[in-house]
Amino acid sequence: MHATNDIVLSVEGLKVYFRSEDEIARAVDGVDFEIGRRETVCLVGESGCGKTVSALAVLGLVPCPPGEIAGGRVLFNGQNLLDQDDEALQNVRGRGIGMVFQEPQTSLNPVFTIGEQIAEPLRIHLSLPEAEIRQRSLQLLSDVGIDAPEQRLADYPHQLSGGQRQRVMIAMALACGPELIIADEPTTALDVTVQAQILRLINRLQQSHGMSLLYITHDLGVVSQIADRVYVMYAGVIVETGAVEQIFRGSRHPYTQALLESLPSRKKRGRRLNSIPGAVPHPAYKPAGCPFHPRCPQAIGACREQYPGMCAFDDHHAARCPVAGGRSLTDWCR
Amino acid sequence: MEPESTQTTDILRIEGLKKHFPIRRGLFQRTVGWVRAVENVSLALAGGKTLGLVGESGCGKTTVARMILNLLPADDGRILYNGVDICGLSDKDMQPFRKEIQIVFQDPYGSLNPRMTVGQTLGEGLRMAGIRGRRPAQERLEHLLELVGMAPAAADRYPHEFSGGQRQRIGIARALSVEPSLVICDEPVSALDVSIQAQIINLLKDLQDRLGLSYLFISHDLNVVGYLCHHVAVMYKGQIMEYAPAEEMFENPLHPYTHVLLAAVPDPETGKKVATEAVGGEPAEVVAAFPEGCRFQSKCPERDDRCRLFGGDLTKAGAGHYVRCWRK
Repeated sequence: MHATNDIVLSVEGLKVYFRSEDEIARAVDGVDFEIGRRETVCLVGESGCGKTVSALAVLGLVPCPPGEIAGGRVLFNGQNLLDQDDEALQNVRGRGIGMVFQEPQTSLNPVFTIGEQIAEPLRIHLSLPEAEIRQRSLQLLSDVGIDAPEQRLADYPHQLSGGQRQRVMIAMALACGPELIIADEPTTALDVTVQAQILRLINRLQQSHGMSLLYITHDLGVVSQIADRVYVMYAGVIVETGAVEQIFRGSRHPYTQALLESLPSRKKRGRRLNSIPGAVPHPAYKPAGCPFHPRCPQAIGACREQYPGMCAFDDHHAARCPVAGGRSLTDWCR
Repeated sequence: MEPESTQTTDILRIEGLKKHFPIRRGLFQRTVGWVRAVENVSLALAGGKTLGLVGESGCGKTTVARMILNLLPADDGRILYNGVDICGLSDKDMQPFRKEIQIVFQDPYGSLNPRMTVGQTLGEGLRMAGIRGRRPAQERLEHLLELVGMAPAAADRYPHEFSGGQRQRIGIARALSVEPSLVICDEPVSALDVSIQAQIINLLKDLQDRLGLSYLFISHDLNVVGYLCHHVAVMYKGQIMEYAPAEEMFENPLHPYTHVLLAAVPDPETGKKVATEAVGGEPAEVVAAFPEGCRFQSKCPERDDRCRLFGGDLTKAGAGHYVRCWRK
């Protein structure tokens, strides 16, 4: 897909399991994806499909136990992050890879000022002198469109609105000039108009800073606006991947198709929405064969027994479904 | 100016509804100001139809809903249910109307009692509806569960045994247990996954067709509103900015705020990129600024000096189309 040196992050066959006394929840069950330089990649799926756990695993943030990385590699600029010790990972987090989480109200520490929190990555990773830290913090805040940054530095998180807190989170993620930003549902808790502002901001910063972006969301509307390429996840696996037009105009996997058809919009007025029957399976009790087969309108006998391999259609476009056709890709894990 | 419905059979008419909350500070909790949460709100909902009430968080949508249910006293205004003013009724006088007006909440986890089985939860409503005796209650319970697409066996189970979508079905069944005519749906699908959302939206539509229900549908999701609603009211900082039939609202929006709101909605069908320089109201400002004149003036791309002086009334701009902007 890309020349190897153009790939910032490559995840291969990642498996993350959570063990309890009597069951194993296979939250991420063999996931492959890659992100090119300056590329925006969306990981999309419903809650519980494993998208957040995949991102946490990339950053070495899965609590172990109960979690367990059961296999795979996470290559950041060719270096496997899963082999690294904590100290080395600490160097990557915040410096090589920036993070933005869903809930700005819980991700910011309520007892420290905005200034102290923005300064932290600058102090730890870049060991800048204090005067320069302040200068950089101000610059970062104005980069993300916060008015009167001098005053804001002394404010506590509760004094800011949701949109402003998310801007602060983005400023912190940007602080050390990372090559990749992982944003996990950064706009889900925000109003649509604020969401539009944040999406534009991310887009602008990505272009001016030349970063790659892994954007995790369940909102297909947002995906259609920002993504270059998309990975669709279901029950811990990637079921389809492609360029954004391929996914929205010519999706091949029945799950992706059903998701798109189930979206309400005013053009569908008067027609019945095509809902997907049933619910997402529990990660500890996934059905045999294709995990989507009990809900799939096109399932055939083979879907019940055999876990489908990834099949390619065009450049970038591949799906994990025997009914969709395509040529088999052997180099995809599982 | 109050919106007049095209039909004379309005199940719900709200006229000049007002609610101000005091801002209290200091040791003695002195009132230092007022949040004008709902200001002169007028709406009409025709029987068997769906009225969408849209706006951002903090704009006063839920406050309106709570006043309709008489869970919160209104400062001023009238709430006419089938022509009877229910605003400010005592608990006792409100009792018959509680059977008529029900609500479905956003959070299907928080709004069900975890210690009660589904059967017990629904049974409370059945008793309120005056259904006595084991046999009739049992039959009615099964009928309710069937209405929302659940098996009779669900009656003996507890809320935690169900998924979010199933719990929302239970929430809907509970609302229906007293056979209401008007159901207020406060963000009923916002907490649900995409594939489950469509199930619940279809269910709400089926129930409307089957039982002739009227819905006041409160949502921030314009895609859902555009799909489901017959009329739409756009609310901003406690005021209705625009009110129109749904088609008209989406095809021919007049208020600058409606434009901003529509431009901000991601539409997967067109996949248009985020380009329009939209402006937004951030929730923190809700408490602070309720300026004189138009409440949208600070964010409005079309503002000029006169917007500071008058916000304008809700004025007729077309067939059933009302807008609060002096230029329109």
